[in-house]
Amino acid sequence: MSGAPEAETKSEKPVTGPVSNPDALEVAPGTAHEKLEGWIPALASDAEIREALEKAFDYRGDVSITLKNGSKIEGYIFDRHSGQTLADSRVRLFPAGSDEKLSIAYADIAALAFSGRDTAAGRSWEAWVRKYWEKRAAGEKNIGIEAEKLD
Amino acid sequence: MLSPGYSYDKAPDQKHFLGRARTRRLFRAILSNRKPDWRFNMSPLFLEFLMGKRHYTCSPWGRPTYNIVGWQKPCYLLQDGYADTFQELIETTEWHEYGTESGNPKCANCMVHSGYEASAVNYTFSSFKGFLETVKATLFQGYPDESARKLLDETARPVHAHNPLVQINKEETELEETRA
Repeated sequence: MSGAPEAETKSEKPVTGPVSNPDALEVAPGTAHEKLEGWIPALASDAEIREALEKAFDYRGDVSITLKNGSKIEGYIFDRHSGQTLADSRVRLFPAGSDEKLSIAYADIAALAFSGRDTAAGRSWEAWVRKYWEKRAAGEKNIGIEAEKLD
Repeated sequence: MLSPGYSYDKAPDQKHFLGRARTRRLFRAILSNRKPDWRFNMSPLFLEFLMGKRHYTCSPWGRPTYNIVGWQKPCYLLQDGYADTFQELIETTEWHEYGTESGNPKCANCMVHSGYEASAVNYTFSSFKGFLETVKATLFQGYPDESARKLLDETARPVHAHNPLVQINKEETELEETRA
């Protein structure tokens, strides 16, 4: 999947700027999330690189980064620093299966892919309630929210 | 411990968080007319903030968090990156960009303890007046309030019109605010 990512959830009014009077808010408008899993962003301009890596930082799954020297790294981005230029902007990540922290300059990145499973996708109150009723209909007792098994 | 949730950016479910106004009503309904044996291991001034009796701004530096990734930039819900050292955290974080009053849309609806209880505690120990008010709030925590009691009898309304909450236990008739 390439091009612009799709919206995952549509809230009534996605938060896009300062809220004029947060104290008067009755309902939190929420954020419209995008379906990023499988997305391969175009990195044709500096702005596209910055935007894609900001989304990669927010992504709750592994991404694959191909460097300009041809090597490929898959891992979880836990930090980013956006500097004046791509050379002094960096993402930091844990490579898959490693405790080592890697730091990669934006300027060294040739390609990016949201390759890992988005662990946040599909999480909703409705999904939990649906699961609850399915379990209850099956006769299950003591139904609770269980932690998902690690990959 | 008590703290309201809020629609932080990374929460997968964005449809069920209360706005600040409704959050204050919820906590006023819950925390007014308290039983004498209720004990909260929290700043009593933060509880008054939740009830809408006080106004605080966020103290994003108030609850530094360290984990295997490093020192977490504000806040633990936003997950806005990490610093390798405490000094780097203090020096490189743009502290003024956090908190509802900052205008940061990611903080717009927040009343979470990590930023606002720290402000209440800071107020307590910043002046004699703050300390006395904390003593008063500790000793006199009944908060009799008939209108707050009536809030508990109000008919439940869905948070979002297009997405009414689902009542799992149909026998109960509690307010939707009390299920937040």
